[in-house]
Amino acid sequence: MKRQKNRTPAACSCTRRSFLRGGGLALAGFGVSSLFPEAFMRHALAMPGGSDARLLFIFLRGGNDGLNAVIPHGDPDYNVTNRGALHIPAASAIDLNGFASLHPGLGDVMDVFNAGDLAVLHRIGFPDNSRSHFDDQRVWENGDPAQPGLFSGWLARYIVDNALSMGADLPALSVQALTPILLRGQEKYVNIANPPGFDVLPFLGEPLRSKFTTPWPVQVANLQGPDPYGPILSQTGVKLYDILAKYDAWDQANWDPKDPANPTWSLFPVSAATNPPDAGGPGGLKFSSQAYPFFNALKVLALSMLESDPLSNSNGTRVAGTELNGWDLHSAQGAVGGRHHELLSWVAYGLRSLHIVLSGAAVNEPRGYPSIWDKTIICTLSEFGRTTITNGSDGTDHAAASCMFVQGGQVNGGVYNCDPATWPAGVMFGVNNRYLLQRTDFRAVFWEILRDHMGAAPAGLETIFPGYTSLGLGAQELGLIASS
Amino acid sequence: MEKKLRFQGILGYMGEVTTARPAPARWLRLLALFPGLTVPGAILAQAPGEIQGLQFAADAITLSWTGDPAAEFYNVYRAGVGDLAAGQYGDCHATGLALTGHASPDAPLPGQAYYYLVTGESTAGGEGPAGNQSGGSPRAILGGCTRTVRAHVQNRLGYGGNEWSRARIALLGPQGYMDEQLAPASISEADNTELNTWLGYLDPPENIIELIARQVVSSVHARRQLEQQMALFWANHFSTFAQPITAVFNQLFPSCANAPSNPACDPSFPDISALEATGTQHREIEALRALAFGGTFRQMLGVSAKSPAMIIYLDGYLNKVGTPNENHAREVMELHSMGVNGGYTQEDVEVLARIMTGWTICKKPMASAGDPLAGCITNYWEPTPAGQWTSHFVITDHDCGPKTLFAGTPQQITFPGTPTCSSPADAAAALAEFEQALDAIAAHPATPQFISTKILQLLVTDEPTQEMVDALVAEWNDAGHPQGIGDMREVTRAALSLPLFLDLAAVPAKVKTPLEHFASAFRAVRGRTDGFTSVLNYLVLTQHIPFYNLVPTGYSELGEDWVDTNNMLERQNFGVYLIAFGTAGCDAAPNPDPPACFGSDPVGLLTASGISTAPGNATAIVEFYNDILFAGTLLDSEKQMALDYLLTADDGTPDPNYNNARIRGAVGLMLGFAQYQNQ
Repeated sequence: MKRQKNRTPAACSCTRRSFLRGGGLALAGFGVSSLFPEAFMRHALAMPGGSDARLLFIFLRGGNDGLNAVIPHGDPDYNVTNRGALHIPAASAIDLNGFASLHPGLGDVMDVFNAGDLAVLHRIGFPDNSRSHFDDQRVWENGDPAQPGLFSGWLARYIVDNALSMGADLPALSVQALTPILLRGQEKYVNIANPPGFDVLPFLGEPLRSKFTTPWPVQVANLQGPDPYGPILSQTGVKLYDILAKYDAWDQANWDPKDPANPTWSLFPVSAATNPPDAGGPGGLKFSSQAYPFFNALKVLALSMLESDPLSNSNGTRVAGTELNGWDLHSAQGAVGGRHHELLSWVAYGLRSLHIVLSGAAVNEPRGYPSIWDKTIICTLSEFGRTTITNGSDGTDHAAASCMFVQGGQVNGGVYNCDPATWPAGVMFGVNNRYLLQRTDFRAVFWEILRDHMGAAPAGLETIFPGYTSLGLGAQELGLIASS
Repeated sequence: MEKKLRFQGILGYMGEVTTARPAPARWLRLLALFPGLTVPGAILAQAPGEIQGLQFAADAITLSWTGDPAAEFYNVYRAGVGDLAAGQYGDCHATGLALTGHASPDAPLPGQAYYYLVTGESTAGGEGPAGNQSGGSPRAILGGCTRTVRAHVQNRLGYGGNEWSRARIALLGPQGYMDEQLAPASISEADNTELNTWLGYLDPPENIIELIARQVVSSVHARRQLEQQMALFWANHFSTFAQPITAVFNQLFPSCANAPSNPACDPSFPDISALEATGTQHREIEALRALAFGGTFRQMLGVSAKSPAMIIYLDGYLNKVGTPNENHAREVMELHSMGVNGGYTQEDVEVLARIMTGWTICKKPMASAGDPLAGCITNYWEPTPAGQWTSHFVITDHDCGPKTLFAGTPQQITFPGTPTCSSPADAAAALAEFEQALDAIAAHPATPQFISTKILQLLVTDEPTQEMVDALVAEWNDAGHPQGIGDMREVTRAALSLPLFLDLAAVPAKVKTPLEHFASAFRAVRGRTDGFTSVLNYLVLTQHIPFYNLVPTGYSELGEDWVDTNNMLERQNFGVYLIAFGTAGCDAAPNPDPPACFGSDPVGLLTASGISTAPGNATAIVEFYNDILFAGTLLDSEKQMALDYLLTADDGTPDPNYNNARIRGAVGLMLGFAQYQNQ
């Protein structure tokens, strides 16, 4: 169930919040999520050796045109007739395996691909998608196509089921407009929408500021109020005051790691001053200023991972993510150059930058974070691909399967589902004679990652992805994670 | 047991609360005092006395009591055992009861118990006493029914209370206030100087910021609060996004620096394109506003589907015969009418896209702006003839072939098309086809279900039951309403008439959107705004920018979408920022631009309300804002935080001599309490 509501006043005194109220003050600063007794028990059962594997997600909202991002040049259906002005000739693309090639805007991922740490997945989706952005995004996030209206995320269920919040103030973090459904569930996690200004009363000086910031955490922790929103507001407030001090200590504004290959280039361009020069780019810079919030989000995500200290559990971020809007290109999508190209280039630069900083390879990096590349997986999601035939407005409409990128030190790199063996003739018209046919369910991809990389307890499978077993999705798993 | 209940003076705790399932009669414990007071005659100006004779019927949850002649109506409070132990006598459980009885809707859980308390009330005399506890101290009622209901109605029908709306609801009562709000034209704004001054500066809105500012100013200052709420609701339902609209007009009116030979070039680029793009959004919003209280859903659907703003935003102008673009057609059904599970198919999306081929935009003379077939002004950049950017239908871009919508369903409708596709008659047939398709979509049974659900989520609860939806659908389908079937005012009225709307267990069970939050704060503390100074920044930070939503769903009404760490942080920041500024700047003369206006006057409101702001009155000051902001529901511990603020110097040392700045700070502290986000 999404939530309880209208609980009677008589029953209020027995919620878990009364437990929190009793212990809230004494344990101030010791995150609310660590107080749930069931989590302690599960932790003891599920995580004997401990694990500090991490997962980072980037949701490409609007529906990424997988056929132009990872181009099936080996399929004669990828042609000028079908793709019109969006067609990208093989000579302009980056060959991966003689069959699939990457959009030229994705060139920045090739270092990781060539190192064998990037898996390029195609034909990922789920059956009978509605082709509604909002339903299909929700399904990718809630993990259950049978319940498109469910507002609870499979990642949130994984976190609870595996007690990632045990002892950690900050098990999960999102840096985007609002908390994604992926991370919604019975606990609240931290969301940061404006990395540069995430601070309480930044316009006040001390000691006046403390006249507010001392009582407010107490007020929210002890908040009385009926369901559903009294407890939710209280949990959220406790989380807010847990994160604020840490976030301040991360000092993200003054962390500017650079690219070892171009030592003057910032890995996270968040301002004109940190935007690499590019004579052909907007305003003589490599990226449009519209890209700054995306790179700032990636920068904070990277910091949350690098600052995560599983030994002290002072932070403990294991799951974090962001979103990038703008992929719904019904018109003027562009081929080489144009809007789709631009968005892909942001993603590729971001994936490359994450690899560099999480590998401890950045320069201009006095903090000296060690490599956590082997512990980390970074993946992209998008709710659907787009029509095989362009729509006459030099754009594409909503469709079915699309591509994904999965990278990390333990990833079996390579191309999946886009070679002669896995891409038979006709699949580009395999659904309704209009859309790319899915080969692998997204749940199979993520369950592999959760189980083989994140150490998810196998018994939790049906909690995280209901119906996985009966649907036989295990047979679609791709073997993405190297056995350690 | 019941006998005891009936005759015992103070009942208090009648036995141990057990964890085993007790007999039904023992689940309920009644609390009341019977002081033996008699009130001679009906003197309605006088507060009723304590209510006597409280008892249960045999079903053990139907209450009855002895009427008091001074009472016009009765309030029932209910509390759980835990609340009682904490010294609280519960929330308002029912109010406005004319009869001396009430059927409590649900029994407590096994092992739990409820206590009930009844008071009488008259409009002129106020609420009668709740009596004393057995130890002699008065029973404390958190908030009180009247305050709770009035605050609830003002919160849901608009953006919370200000001085005007509080006085109005006190005069008319909750039902009278709701009835008046449902007839916005009956409420005069003629002498609403604050509203008219700031809207005057924004007429017409010249860019998206001014369009947003109109909504902010109206939400804060309009007396027609429900009209603002519903106008924004419909604009958000039929959501358009300023950016792509402006991008199209940027092409029509390029910068003279880039296109000096273009006769349409704009030397002050992008002023003209911003003005024209915003105009298309503004006219759509105003049309929806009028229809919300004097039109049907079918009319709204037509306004939206043929609005130039929507035709640009969802690529309708690119949707042509042979090269369809299904973006707009899909959202007409998925988002604007039937809902994603409404029963349409992908084939229906493609058919509707074909029906909708041929629409574009152009500038037409004012007199023919409403005619999609009227001729366009070719030299659109010339000052004359005066014209307006509007929607335009081009028959040669239309798909005149035969089509079947909702094939194989009871709603199936077939269009024969026309053998030629160029004549005025062909165009008339194509337009009629579109109207018939919209008729079929509006009349599809999924549409009233989907729209009624959204209206309930706006006004009543995030999780409406099917029974509630059905109640609205019944009104929707009542052809006897003034506007006939789909009369949106009557569907809105139906939502506000549901028993659950005033079921006080559900009172705070929604969360304000960021705009609702900021507007309610302005209204509570005599805030003033030009609509954008500082407040626009906070709308951006909290991710709620009306008419500027990237995705066509519009902004959510569901609390789960808005309660997060970022929103809580920025809402707390906003409250303190608001009380940090006075309003003197708002009264500066235009020079030549209007003055920037952002600030509040919580001290002035105290003074005007007869509350002394001199030292020594801290408790009354806190109690006043407890009433204004929380309908009196703050806990003692929360009030103590505000008192501590007032009675402590900034350096932390005790100092009873507070000043106005400290009063402001205490109000800012209270605005940051988490439950101020409740709606």
